[in-house]
Amino acid sequence: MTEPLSILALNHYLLLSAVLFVIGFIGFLTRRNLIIMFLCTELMFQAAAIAMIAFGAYHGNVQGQVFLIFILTIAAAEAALALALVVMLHRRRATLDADCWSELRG
Amino acid sequence: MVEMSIIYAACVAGAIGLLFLLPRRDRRWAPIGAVLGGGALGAGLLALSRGQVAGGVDVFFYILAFLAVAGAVRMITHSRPVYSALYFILVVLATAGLFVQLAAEFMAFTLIIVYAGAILITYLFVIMLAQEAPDDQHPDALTEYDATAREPIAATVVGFVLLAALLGMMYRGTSQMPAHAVTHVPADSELEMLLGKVDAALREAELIRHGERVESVDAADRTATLISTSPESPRLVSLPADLHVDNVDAVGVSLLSEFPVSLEVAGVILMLAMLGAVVLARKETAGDAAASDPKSQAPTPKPLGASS
Amino acid sequence: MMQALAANFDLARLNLASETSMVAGLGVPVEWIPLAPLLAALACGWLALAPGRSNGRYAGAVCVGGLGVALLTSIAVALSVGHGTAQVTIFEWIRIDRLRADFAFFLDPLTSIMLLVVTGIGTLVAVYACEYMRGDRGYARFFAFVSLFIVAMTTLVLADNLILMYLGWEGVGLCSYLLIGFYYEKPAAVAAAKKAFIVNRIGDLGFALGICLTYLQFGSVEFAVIFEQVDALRTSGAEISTGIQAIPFLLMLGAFGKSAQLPLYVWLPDAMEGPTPVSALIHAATMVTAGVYLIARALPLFLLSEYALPTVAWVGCITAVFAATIGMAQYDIKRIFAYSTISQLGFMFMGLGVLSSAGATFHLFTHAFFKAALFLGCGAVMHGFAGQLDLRRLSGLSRVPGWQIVTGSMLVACLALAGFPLTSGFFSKDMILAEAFVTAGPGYRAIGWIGLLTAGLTAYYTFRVFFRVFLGPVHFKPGEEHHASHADHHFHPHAPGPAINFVLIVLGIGAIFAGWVGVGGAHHGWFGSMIQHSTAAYEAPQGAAHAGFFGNPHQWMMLASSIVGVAGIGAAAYLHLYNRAAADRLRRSILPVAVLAEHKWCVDEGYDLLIRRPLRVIGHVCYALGDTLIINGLVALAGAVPRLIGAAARPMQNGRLQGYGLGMACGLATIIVIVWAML
Repeated sequence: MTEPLSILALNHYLLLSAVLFVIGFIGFLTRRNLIIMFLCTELMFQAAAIAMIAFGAYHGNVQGQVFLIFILTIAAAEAALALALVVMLHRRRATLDADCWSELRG
Repeated sequence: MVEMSIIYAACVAGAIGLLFLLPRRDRRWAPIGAVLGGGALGAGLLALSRGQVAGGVDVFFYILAFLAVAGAVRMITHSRPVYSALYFILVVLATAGLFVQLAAEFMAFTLIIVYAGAILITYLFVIMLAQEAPDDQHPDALTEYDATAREPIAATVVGFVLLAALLGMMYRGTSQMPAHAVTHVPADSELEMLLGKVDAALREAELIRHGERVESVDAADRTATLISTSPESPRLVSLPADLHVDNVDAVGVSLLSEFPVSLEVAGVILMLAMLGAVVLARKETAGDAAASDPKSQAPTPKPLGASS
Repeated sequence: MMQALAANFDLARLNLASETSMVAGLGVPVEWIPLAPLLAALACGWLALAPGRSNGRYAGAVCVGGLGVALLTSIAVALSVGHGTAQVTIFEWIRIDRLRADFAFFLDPLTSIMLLVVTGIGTLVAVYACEYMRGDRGYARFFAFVSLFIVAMTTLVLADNLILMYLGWEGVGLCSYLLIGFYYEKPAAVAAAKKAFIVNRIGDLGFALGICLTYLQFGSVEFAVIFEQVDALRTSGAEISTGIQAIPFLLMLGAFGKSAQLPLYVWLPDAMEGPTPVSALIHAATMVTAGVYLIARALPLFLLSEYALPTVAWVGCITAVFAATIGMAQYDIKRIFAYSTISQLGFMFMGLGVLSSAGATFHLFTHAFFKAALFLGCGAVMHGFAGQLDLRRLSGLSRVPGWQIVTGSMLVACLALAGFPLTSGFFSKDMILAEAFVTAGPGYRAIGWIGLLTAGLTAYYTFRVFFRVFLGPVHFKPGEEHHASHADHHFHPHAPGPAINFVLIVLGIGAIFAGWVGVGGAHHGWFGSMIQHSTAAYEAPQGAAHAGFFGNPHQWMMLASSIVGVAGIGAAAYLHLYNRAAADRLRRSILPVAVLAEHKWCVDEGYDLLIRRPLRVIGHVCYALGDTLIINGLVALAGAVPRLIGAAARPMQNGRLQGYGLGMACGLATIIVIVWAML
């Protein structure tokens, strides 16, 4: 096993994680296509994954990776359900525009 | 606190750059945005490293990190959904590379197989299924909701404010942490639980005799205790030098020894997800108006920022 | 030098509030003097507004009745006050802390004289107007306004404190505005009324500031209290502060505005747009003399400052000669007499300035008679010739049947104005001019010579009018009020009726004989003695300054002004009676000067350029910048703020997912920052 991360290296990875997270978040807020919005949430997951692994390496154990396995599991489940929802919504209105769905207003 | 001001300045520059890159009618400013964004990222990295660029990470980190961020930016700024998905695959690959850097190769491959190979393929299928053109004369034209970004300024500002806050906290927090969490990781401590592996390795190295089996392993001394029915038991054998615990072993051991319940629950969740997907996406019900009249139910998308 | 003269001023002669000559228990109801015209005004107003077309006919009689009552009361007051003083409080008005201004009357000889002039001329003019204004649609309204004017003017004259005087001052300004703009359908009249009011306002500002300063310096606005303190100041010989010295200058500004002196005279010629009785009453006899009265009343204050009275004298002098030069070049006979009024008012101020307050008030007295006669005569001409006032189009009216009385009274009044020997104007002008040469002061001799020159010019232009209009070949053209439908008929001039003739006769007699009250004795007869017992008293130094002159200055002045007057009349006779073509040749030879004089030396145009246009520019700037930009912008901002708040709050509720996401991110960022700040 390689030696554990120094705090300096950890900073690098955390910066990358934060940047990816925010990019994903901005994408989520800006795009109107439902599928792209979900893709951006997946990007946020990626960012969290990097952070997990980096911290695990910093502490010198594999708990970060184990946690990531579970995150991956949940991400997969969520992706499946999300895409099923998208397909259903698309059948209703024949459009993927997120702005069309505003029945919950008020 | 000079570094903090650099970080904030980098955030501002990055925000402006991203604004230029987001989908809009007029794409002239995109290169400027790219330059700004790249510069911002570099400046931020420099600041966070406190000037010691080469400390702790090697050049592959920079390459992979650049690929990841570039792919992510391109993913959110590209107008066509298929390209977004493909760029996301690039991000996933870059992330996998980073995992390899961090000696987490199992997770790297898992990521590629599960994410890029399964999840994103599913996304691509759905994109193909749900794609449409705004009118039938131009089947390749972008729909209106793909072509323009929605309130880019508000989203970018808020996002980068969030980023600045996160980075500020992070900078402050990590400056209080010790430079190394652990000075030395006891190597191969999992071997004590991987008796089968030790057994196989010893057999291969012909250090174990017939009828003997491994009873316990002492990782610190790198010895294995062999027992057998023969009168010489227990016998200590030193482990071959090339016997190491690799990442897969470590993850497996940790997963099964420390989180067995979570593993079971994860399995249940996956099954439920499968059921849910099937239920949700089954054939059309009476409530689907689009089946009979394809475009009748789609209301015209309202312009950005108009009162709802 | 002025201080030395002022030192001779003996306030003890005033007997203010002194028991010995205070008229105990004035048996005359003084309050009727303003009250009767007030009731007449209300009655006329009711007649004007009441339904029924024939009600307005009685307004004239009502007004004459009210003014007649006031006249009789004034005579009674004059007789009972005599040379003493009296103070009558009608009701308490303003009592705030130290400030005390009651509706109270202060009666001294000066007041009596002014009251007689005001009510006398007022009654005569009201009688004249009964015939002159007959048939006019606003007949009752006219008499209501005239009565109101008399109320205000008598209040002004009777006031015992500056604030009540200011009330009367503003009241006459208002009535002047109402009466000048009487023919409110004529744009020229409306503009003239506005001009009069606005220009007067400038003077009134000075007056108001003067009142404030007086209150600050003396702690009171009542004349009695002020003059006591002035006397104490003078006898103590203390240094007089600049604050106190500034008061006369501010009061003087008000007087110049009301009495049409330079530079605030521009309203008076335009005020001729009003009906002629108005011109006679207000702009010849009474309102414009309010300024002279103010300075005469407050003379002790003026004596405190070294430069106040010389300023008054010089302004009066320059105004006199300036207005005379303009008057020489005008063609509208009412305008000519308006400029003549300005010029004669200048004489009065000159008189005040050279310490001849008796001369000034005497000139006021005589001027009221002959100027009113002149204006009323012009009015008769206008009435009879359908509004024709241009002296180039009227000639030889003395030979038109029915116009003899008008001609006679005009002749007498012109002689008085020109200062022909033994007329009233002669005596009053002489008084002023003689004092100018005798009194020591900055450039007073020059004032005297300029005054003499002005007297000559006055004689010239007065008789220019007379010779042109009344003598010479008979020839006239009707004015604009002559209806076009009568064009083919031969125009018959409408001879004046009995009321007009009667008033003109009375005024003519007054013009001749009014002068005799001011003649005789060391103090110029009855008139002078009246003035000596009022606040306008002064003490001429005995003999000291007279020695520098050849004997008695008054006799020399009578000679000099006679010569000058006759010379003026002679010049006018030559140019306008015997050889009228010579006048045209003379005009052509000095054409640029003549044209400039006809345009009143372009003073109005100068004011327009210097004052009106910059003010308009400032107004536009304020409108564009202050009003449109700032105030409208603020109002729009007030409207925009709720909209913005709504727009900002809308993403919370509009059902769109990404708005909610944005809110979540903001919240997250906020929480992070708060935690960060707290750590």
